[in-house]
Amino acid sequence: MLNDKEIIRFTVNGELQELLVASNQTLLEVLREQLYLTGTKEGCDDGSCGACTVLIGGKPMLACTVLVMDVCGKEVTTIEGLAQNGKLHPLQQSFVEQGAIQCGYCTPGLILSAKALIDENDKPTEEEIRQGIAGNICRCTGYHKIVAAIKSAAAIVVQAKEGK
Amino acid sequence: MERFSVLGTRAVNPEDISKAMGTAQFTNDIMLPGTLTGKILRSPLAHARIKSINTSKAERLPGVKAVITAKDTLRVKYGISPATRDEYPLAVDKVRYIGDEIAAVAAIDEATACAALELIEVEYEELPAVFDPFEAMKDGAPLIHDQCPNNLSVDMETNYGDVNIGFQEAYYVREDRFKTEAIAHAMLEPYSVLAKYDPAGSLDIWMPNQSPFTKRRALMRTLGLPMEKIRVRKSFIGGAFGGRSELFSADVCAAILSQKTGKPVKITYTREENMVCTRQKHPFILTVKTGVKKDGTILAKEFHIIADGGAYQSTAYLAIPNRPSMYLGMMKVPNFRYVGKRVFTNKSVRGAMKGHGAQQILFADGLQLDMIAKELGLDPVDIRMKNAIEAGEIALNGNKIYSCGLKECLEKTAIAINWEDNEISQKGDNHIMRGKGIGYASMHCGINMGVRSGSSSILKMNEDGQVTVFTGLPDNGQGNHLMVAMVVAEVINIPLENISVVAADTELTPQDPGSYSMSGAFISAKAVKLAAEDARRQLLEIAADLLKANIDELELKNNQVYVKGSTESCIPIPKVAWAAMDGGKNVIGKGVWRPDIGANNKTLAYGAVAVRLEVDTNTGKVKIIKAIGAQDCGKAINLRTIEGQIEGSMGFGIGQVLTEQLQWHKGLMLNHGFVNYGIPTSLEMSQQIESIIVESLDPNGPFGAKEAAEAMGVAVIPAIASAIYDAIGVAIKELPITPDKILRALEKQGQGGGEK
Repeated sequence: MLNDKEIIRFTVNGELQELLVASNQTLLEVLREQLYLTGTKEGCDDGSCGACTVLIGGKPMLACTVLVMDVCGKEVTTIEGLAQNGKLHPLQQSFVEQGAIQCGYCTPGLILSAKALIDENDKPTEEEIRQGIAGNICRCTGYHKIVAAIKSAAAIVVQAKEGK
Repeated sequence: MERFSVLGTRAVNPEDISKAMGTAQFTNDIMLPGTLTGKILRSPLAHARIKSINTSKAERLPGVKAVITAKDTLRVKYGISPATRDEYPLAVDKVRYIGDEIAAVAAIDEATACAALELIEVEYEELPAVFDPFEAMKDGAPLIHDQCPNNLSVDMETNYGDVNIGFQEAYYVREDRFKTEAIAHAMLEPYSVLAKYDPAGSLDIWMPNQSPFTKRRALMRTLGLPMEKIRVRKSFIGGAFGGRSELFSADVCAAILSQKTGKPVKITYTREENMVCTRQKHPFILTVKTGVKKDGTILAKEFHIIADGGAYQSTAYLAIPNRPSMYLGMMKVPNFRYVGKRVFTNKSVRGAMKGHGAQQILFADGLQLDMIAKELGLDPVDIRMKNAIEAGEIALNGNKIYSCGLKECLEKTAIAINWEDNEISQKGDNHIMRGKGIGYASMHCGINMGVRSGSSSILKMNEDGQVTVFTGLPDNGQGNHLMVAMVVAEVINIPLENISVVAADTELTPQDPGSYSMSGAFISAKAVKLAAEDARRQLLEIAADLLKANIDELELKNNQVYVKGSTESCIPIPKVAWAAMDGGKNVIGKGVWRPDIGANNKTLAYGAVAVRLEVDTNTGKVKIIKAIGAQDCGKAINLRTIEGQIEGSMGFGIGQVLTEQLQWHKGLMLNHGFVNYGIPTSLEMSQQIESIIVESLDPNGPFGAKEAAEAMGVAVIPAIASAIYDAIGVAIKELPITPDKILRALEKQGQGGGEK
């Protein structure tokens, strides 16, 4: 049956969740309406804007096109899971400092796409950054300061690694 | 040159932190216990009379809590002015476009609400519909609004001097026809409204908006509730661009559904509803006729505009008649004629959108100017400089130009793009053709909105010297709240982090025109400045007493009050604030500002954009190599924010000129999603972008500030269109300039035809 309900377990931002969900629910719905993690946004509901980007096992995915049952046993990271102990992630810090945020609606999804990018490639070129965020629509900024913020954050992450 | 401690810096926006963390609450993020999901039933027909509506089956569906139609409303029309109110929240007698609202339901969840919509039975009498403005204007065409013969929403003409004489005296005259398409705002946040009606008789309502006061007034009328019982509350707003300035049907429906059910009701539009059923930019068909002397001096200018307005009035009386003053505030022409018609068609409603008619007009104007320049052997920058107005001059319509950085913007962008460098401009290189273009624009700061034309602000100081400033100005992402905080910090010399801003809540904040009339800096921030100055005076009076000095001897610096010339005779502002409150003289500042914005007192902000681009003649694709935007914003308050506005506005325009258009089959919109609409991604932006800030201080703006940076979104369009003309030698007079149009133009040119 389409609306069959089941209890599933998966990790969100490091915390194990046990939820009763329906087979036709998307991850986006469940994150927002059952876990009240409203940082992940709905922009289009058809997978075309990137505002609902989350990380599943570290990979950027569109939560509006992922059925929640498919994340059973997996690790999901939302924007709320980025800051650690009250300290902003370098990407968040960089976005704020560079003025890469205007209305802020695309920001969570963008930051997570950027995180996936720099986790995999810590010295991205401008072209690689633009490709990496090509699935995230921003109507306000023209993307210029976003690209600058990602580049700057990548450099900070590298420095921090080398400093260790 | 005045020195500032806070203005002109790159202060970080504290609101950005919550946005970066995902904790900023947009309307759809606000969760109230027991909230029901609302959905709206929309017309599948472009034009039809409603014969009957039967909601009984929907009402009986388990999980449905209320179903409403027009009979559950007061049947009061709304619109932005008394003369143009023509929309009902829910259709009373007929529907006028595919998407027009007919009924609404509230249910326990979205699936149930959608199922309920399917059960509402509507009997229609389909009427002949009309989709083309020329067809709609003909005698005998289907009449969309009974009181508007020939489906004319606006029919106006403005004349200064005599264009016929100007054309007769001109050395060269040309007339060209241009066409633009409907554009979607496509802001990321889908429209959402949360209404909570308290049975004691008051309404709390949240929605992304550009003026809570505009919404409140319209809700008062349509709901029949007293104004003080309606509270339009502040939430974060995910972009607006002019598309959130009016009342929408969902606002009224959510309120009435909440009244009926006793529960909060939230209606969130799908992306399709957002693109079809809110507002769009007007498509224009326009004819431009220009007569010039041999040296490029414009002697006569004539615009004929047909705007396809869609099914309702919306901002008709602003979109069309306001444009002449915008043009005449830039160009010194002795003879001018402007004929503007806005026509109803059975399509989505066209209203305010960034530029509001300016893009279409200046696209046509700029491209034609370049064609004239080419004919006369003149440089495009020179012909614009020759006719550009300057500060102190009086425009043809009598407007005094108080401040004008237009020439400076043109000069600076031309220099920054290396306009004179012909090596860069060289064409050829196999299948790549290169071109350069320059565009200009102006934008008026504030519009006459009757009782809502002015802004007021209140500032209260706590006992520790920290300040809260109350302003009715919303922030749609353009940094308005940081801007007003910086104005306060500059006036009272307290740290920025000691200032909090309470904004855009009809119960807490005083009246404000809103953020859709380019008045945030010019009017709202000025009211805040006046409130801060009032508070400063009160503070200094207390300090004078404490320091046993004359008030004229005092100055404020770094959160301290000093006796001028002394480093020891000083007192921290927090101590003064404490003493004030302790002595029963709490510091509370008030500022009220209503500039005289009649037709002859319009302050304008200006801008210019220069681009270099490449056209691939194999694919017709355009790659923008460099884009330079210079914005005259008067006194620049926050450099980072203004840069962001310049870049963002240019990006917004790039889509409109190269890829974006709403496509129709009769009244049905075909491309109502982001992908098939053509919204630019990070890959479509200019490779290099540069922002230049020009400060022509306006005597009427706070510290001389004007708006930023709507002029950029306008100027980038003629700049790109002109650059393509420069590259391929053919003027493409239709927006968007898509690859197929470029390839067709090149083909025609190769065959010896095509417009040169």
